[in-house]
Amino acid sequence: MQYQGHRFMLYKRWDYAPHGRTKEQQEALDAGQALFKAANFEHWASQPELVECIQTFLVRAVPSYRPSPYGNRPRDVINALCWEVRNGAALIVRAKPAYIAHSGFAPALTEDERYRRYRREMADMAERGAIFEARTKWYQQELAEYHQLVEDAERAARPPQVFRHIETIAEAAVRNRAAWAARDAFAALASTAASVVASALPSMDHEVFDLGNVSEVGTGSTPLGDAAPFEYFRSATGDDVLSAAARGVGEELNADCFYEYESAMRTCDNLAHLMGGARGYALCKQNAFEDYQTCRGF
Amino acid sequence: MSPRKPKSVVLSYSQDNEAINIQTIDAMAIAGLDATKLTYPVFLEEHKHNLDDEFARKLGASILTTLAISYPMLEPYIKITRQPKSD
Repeated sequence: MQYQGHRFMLYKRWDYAPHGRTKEQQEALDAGQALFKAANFEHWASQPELVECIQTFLVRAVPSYRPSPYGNRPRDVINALCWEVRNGAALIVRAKPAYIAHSGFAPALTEDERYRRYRREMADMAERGAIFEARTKWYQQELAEYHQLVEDAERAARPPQVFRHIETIAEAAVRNRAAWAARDAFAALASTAASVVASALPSMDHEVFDLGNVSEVGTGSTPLGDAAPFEYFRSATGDDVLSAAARGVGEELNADCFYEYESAMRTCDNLAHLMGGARGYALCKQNAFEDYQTCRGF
Repeated sequence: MSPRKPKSVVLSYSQDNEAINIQTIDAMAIAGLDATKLTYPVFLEEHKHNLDDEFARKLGASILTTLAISYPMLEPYIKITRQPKSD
């Protein structure tokens, strides 16, 4: 029973503080009596849940109570309770705010109510879980995208360096060969066969030279074109410089960052709600995200 | 008479004397601050350059509730009507 913010409970007379009452218990009892005196029984009878509660109590507490002889109409149930309260067999007691009924006589909540509350809590938990999961998924996705971005940027940045390295060797070889050829050319020039040798010189345009043609003059047996092609690829552990820098951020700090980020997003949502403005909202969220990335060390 | 240096307005809440402080600070100083600044630009164009009572109401409500995110103790005092999102 819930009245004026208080919960009231029904007790069998001998179940409630049979060995003398404390002041508090007496007050609770007085409050119950006052409630009973002021009660509008029509109103009580109009609440099916209350009636059901009372009937449960009567069935369990009063051995002589039989639902059918008294009639099953709500008003009959209330009348039966009134009878028991007036003759002192049943007590109405104001419950302490967090009181839990020690016996089944005054169920704090009916099974149905308890079940419904349980369902509500479970639904709430499930909802929170779903939100958390969605957020985590989004977060992971966003992180993966970011890693992809970094990877692409790396790939875009590194290969030229690698190729430049090959070029340097090749160029050296070409230069070497050119030098030999030039010497030969001089020799050929000396022997008046200059034009023939000059046309055999490899192209010096290193944008287009063919690696297969380049061989180190001197040994002459290790053409670079035979070397196994190699390419730069990221190590599986990802502990290259860029991601190592990003990973220098501790888990704790990450959590703090995420908390700040959430709070910032909440601010944006709130402002969007009250102030409006799609552009402002988008910029606010972007701002929040950038702060988040900065915080995490990206 | 406007000050020589443009000022920004900063709102804060001091719990000690339960006051919302409206402070002005050098706009340049804020721009140069190396701290997390969340910015929500309110474009005048989106309000048709019409800074009327309604705009002021929205702005005030925005500021109060934003302050209350950091200072939840303000929450019970805020009695503004929270309009359902219209746009």
